[in-house]
Amino acid sequence: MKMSVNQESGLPLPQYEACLLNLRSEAVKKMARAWVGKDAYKLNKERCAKAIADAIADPNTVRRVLGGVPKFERAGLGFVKRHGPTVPTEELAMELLMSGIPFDEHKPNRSYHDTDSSLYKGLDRLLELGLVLWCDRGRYNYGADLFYNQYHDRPEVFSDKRLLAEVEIVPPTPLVLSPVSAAERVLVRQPSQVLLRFIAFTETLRKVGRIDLTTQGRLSKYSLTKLVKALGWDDALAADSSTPMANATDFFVALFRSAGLIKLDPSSQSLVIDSSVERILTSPYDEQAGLWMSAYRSLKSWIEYKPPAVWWDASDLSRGKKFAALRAALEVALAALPQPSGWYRIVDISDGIFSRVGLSFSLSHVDSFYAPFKATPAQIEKKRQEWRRQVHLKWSQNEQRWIEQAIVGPLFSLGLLELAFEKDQKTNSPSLVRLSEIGLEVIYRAFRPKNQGATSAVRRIPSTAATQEGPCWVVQPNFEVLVYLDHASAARLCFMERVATRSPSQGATALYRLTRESVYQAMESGLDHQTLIANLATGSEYPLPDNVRQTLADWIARRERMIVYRAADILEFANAAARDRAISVAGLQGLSIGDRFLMIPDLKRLLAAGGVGSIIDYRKPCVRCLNVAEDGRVTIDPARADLLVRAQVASWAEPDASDGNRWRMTRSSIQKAMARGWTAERIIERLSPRALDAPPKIFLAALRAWTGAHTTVALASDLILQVADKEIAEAIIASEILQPYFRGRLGPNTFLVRNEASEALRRQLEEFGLELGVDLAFGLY
Amino acid sequence: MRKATAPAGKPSINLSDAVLHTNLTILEVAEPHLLEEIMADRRLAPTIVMRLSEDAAVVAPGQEEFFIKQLLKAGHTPKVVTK
Repeated sequence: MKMSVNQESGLPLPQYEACLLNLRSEAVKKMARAWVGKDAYKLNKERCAKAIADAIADPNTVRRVLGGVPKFERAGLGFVKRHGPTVPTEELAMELLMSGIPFDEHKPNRSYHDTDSSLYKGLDRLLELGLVLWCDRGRYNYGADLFYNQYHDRPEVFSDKRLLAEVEIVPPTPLVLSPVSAAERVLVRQPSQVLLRFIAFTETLRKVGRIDLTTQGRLSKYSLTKLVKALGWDDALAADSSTPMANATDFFVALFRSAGLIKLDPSSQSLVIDSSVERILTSPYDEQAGLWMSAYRSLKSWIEYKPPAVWWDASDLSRGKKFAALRAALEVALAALPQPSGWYRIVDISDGIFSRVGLSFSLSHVDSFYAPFKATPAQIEKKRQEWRRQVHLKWSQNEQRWIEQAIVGPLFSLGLLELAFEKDQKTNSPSLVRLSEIGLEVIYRAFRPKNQGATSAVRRIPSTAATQEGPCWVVQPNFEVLVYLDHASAARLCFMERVATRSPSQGATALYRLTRESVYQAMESGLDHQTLIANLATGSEYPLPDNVRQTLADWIARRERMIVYRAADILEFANAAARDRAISVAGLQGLSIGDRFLMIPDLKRLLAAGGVGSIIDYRKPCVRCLNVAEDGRVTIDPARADLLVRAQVASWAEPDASDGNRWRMTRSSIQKAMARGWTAERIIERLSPRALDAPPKIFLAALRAWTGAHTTVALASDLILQVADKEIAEAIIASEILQPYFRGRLGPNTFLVRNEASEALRRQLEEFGLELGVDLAFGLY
Repeated sequence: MRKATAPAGKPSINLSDAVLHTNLTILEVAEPHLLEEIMADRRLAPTIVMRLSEDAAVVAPGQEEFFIKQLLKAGHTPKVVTK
């Protein structure tokens, strides 16, 4: 089975020939020299590109040209072949340096401060010859240079499949390490245990449903916490004294995402399980392990350990690339062990990696060596040694700690490595490591052609349990199920995860418990009664206990007693006779409900066969069918009413005994609604969208008042002064003598007079000679 | 509820007097007392907006998830059928 890791983007891979034309003319001519000889310098860029393209199309020319390419560059193409036509830039650069194969180092024109570029000196050799090209996928469009430049981020390189077809994958040069003969307290993670974790993760995520993403694309804390709680293993794994693994759930999410088994659902902006997961998990584990290793290597949003000197943020993918590069280095180092089955000190492996890349790579920043001015060669050498010691010290504090965590954490958890303690070792953390049987296959042999890999020193993998389908558990009368992991297939484990609740357990067995809830959830996920009983029975080494069989049947029958139909379609008839006529005469099919209703199984067919009187869709805003009067009377328009309106109105109004469509909201009915938890605003909120016209404001004021809203209304005792003549009205308002008698001006010719001052005002106006009458015939103007 | 089966070979359906209600959530129980039990539950009762018969009722639109969650909390194990 071919399994591949999810590529960085879904954008199409660029064509080799098209990329040549984006390069500088000089670079293309230099490349063409290898393919068409010295005459390449006489051709222009386009003709050179054409000549290269023609040469690559001919397998014999490709073989001849690659035969003349140095071993390092050929081996580099082999590394590209291992991963596919595209490879993350940092990972390939690291693999090339880790290969231990010597190469001619050219120094392209780089900035003096471009110290991080020393990691890419091997990759530059492949770029210069055009064996790999920048894989811009049309996003960056600055691929003119054929060497690494730290100011231009180019996440991937690629090679042409016709080139890759003619190269072999070459193993790295063995590291100079001495194996350790005595290993004690060996820790092994069996493939079935690893598989159980994957299956548990998959089934739990399936039950949880999805992992929401924030608007920035990060995992939502709420979703993650829900998943962590449902899995329930984070604390136990982090507290493991020998092989601790912090944030295990985050790791599995990142791993599944990197492997393409969790995908983004654009409609809900969340991560969901991909349908391919079952096919992957039911394949033999040695096949799966290659995918997991590859996915693990390219993790960018999760890290094993953050050295104190390193700044880290999960959303900063450029930081993630450095950790991915160090994982690639660790993988190559494990493939370069002198004795593949031997035990090695983790510290020695770290030093082995340092010996190859330590001066060119750092998780923080690379410290370059600068020779002192006017120093003698001896002084320069002494200074260089001192610099090297400092860099190694920094490595042991940062990268070595990370390597230890990567080995005892994810690589051990994936079953790729075995761990052990040295004789008389005092510390709790294992110091020795060796490749497991699966690790030998997916790490060591992956770098070696098939015909060279099987040496007598290398252990062979027994057939993995992933595909065995025999009995592998015992169902006990107390509903506990003991699963023997060594002969449980992935399909059996998937089934058990689905129907039972896992209890914490370690070692070669897993303990589950059948509960009403777990069986119910399994049935809801689509499992049927017969399959449940049949699978439980065929997977069991003994017959199912009678009480278990009976109780399961009871639980299943109980579920059938209550059914919730979601998004159901029902037809409402005027009466039972009309419905029965539609069934018997018109040939309508469905489930009869009560006297007048019929649930329709196939709405499309019904609509295609003939029309219905009216359609009410309950996903749309509710139907307007109420008339509300000022005195609280509510009338339902039966022609427009839906099934919900009567129940809604009944919550706040009293029915009219004479007419089922008439109701009235009164102080008493509203106060009863309040006792049931309604508030004035909630009633108005539900009533308004139902009303054909906006409810009268005076009724809304009454409704609020009935629910206790404080309103003050008073009949004032003040008098109104009316003035027929506009000039006199202006004179009155301008008068300082008259001002104290007024409370305010109501209109141009009307004034509100203080009740207590009315007699005094009357006298004052008479004094001014103004004749006082009673009620002039105009309003407030 | 009972399943209505139609005689074979009927040509077209004229339902001009009928009202079609779509996208409703319907609860069906095997025995009427189960629905009574739900109507007596103060968390579940407000989500039932109409009884269609003694063994079927309409759940308030938008309250389906809450209703199912409350049913499970109350110890029921309803079969959820989605169209």
